[in-house]
Amino acid sequence: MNLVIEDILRLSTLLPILLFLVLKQKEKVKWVFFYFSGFVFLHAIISALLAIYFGKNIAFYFNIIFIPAEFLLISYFFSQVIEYEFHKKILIISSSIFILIYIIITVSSPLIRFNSLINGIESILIITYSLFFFYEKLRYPKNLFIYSQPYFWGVSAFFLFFTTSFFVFLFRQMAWNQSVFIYQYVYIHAFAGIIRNILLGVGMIAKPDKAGIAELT
Amino acid sequence: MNVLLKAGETDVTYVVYFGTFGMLLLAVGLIVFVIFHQRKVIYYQLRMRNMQSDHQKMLLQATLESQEEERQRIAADLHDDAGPLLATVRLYLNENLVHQDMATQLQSIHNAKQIVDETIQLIRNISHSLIPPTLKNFGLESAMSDLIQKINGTGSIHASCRFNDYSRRLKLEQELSVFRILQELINNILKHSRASFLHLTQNKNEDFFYLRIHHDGTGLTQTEFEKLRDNPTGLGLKNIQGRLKILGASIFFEKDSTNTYYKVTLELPADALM
Repeated sequence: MNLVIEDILRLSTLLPILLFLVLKQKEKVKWVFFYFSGFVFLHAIISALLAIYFGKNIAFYFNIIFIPAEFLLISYFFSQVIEYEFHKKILIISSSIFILIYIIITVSSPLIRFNSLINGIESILIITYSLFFFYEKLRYPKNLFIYSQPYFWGVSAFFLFFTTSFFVFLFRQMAWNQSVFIYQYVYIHAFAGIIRNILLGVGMIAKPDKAGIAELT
Repeated sequence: MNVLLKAGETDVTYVVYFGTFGMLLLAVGLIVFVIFHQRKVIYYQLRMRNMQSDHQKMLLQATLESQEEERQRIAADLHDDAGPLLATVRLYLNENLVHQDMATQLQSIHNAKQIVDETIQLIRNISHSLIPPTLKNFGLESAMSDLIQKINGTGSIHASCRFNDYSRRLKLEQELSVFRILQELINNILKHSRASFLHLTQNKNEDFFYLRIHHDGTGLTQTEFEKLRDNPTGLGLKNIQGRLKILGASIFFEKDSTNTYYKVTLELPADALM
């Protein structure tokens, strides 16, 4: 099944990449957006090529590296934007545990194409990191216009992507044999992905507001 | 079997739709809330800072006004008292004096001398009103004892003073500021509180140097003090606040838990002591 929305999703991944290359703003978080989008785009292209030339099974096995790499990139991004030491420690410990669990599950049952447990845990962790970020920004706001900060759009992008995809990830392993669910999965996942890419694109355009509260008085 | 399967599919479909929609709604709601709440918090902080800045300006204005008043008073004293006295001396000691007889000359010189003495006394009084000589020569403890003694002498109130540990003194300019604050506080107590006793004590610990006034009249609480201090018409409390700011000190107005007396505590950092 190849739906138009999936093609739009693949193409939308190019949006942050192109904006990064055109605008030439090289803040650290924008580099992370760039690497993330580049990685997602390459993965989509290689998966599609593998599926065409070697079959869908090979493409699925290629996915094994996708989840940890995606997760590590997003975790690195959050480690850059989260400020509390305690939150950072939780992030590092939980990310390490997640990678360990991922390796154990993948090695013990390599034939499972999609593991809802892994994706569910990943979503919960990223949602938790996003909540840490929002909590910090609520507790100690530093910028008058938080939406002028590229990292805010990055956090919102990942937060919306994983909250929207959470339920389809949870049910995918169980309900992948149901045709209605497959459509649901594709549409919801693609919708969440497109929103994520658009928000990362907005993050690429956003110019950081360097004037803190102190300068505004 | 097919029917059951269909029913199961429908359940999953609903759960996924509602779950996803709910999560999306929550996520968007949270992001919008963060944006608006953050702005609200920052506007509040900005407003607080502006209020603090206005308050600082008001204090500065009060200090300047007070200085200006002091200058005008000194100018008026010099102009109205010293000026005429010196003019009179000049009249006595004019050029015609040498043509006068000896008795008139001696009388004129005597009169001029008396007026000069009077002028010296007047200038001394002006100078003393700027800085009390007891404070300058003997320090805050003696100056306060002196002031309390004078108040006691009126017989209208029983006043006392006790310095428990003042072996290390404040700098002269700090002592003067503290003296002025205490003078203003005592003056307010005498004017407004209808107190029958007033007791000043000094203490210190490792971190702070305290001066505390107890009285049994009608006093102020901290809230009332802050309200009156921010009132544009009251100059005395603003002057107190201005001097506190310069000293890096704090003031606390409290009513005793027994409701029998009020206390005002002036708290200075101990490192201000020499």
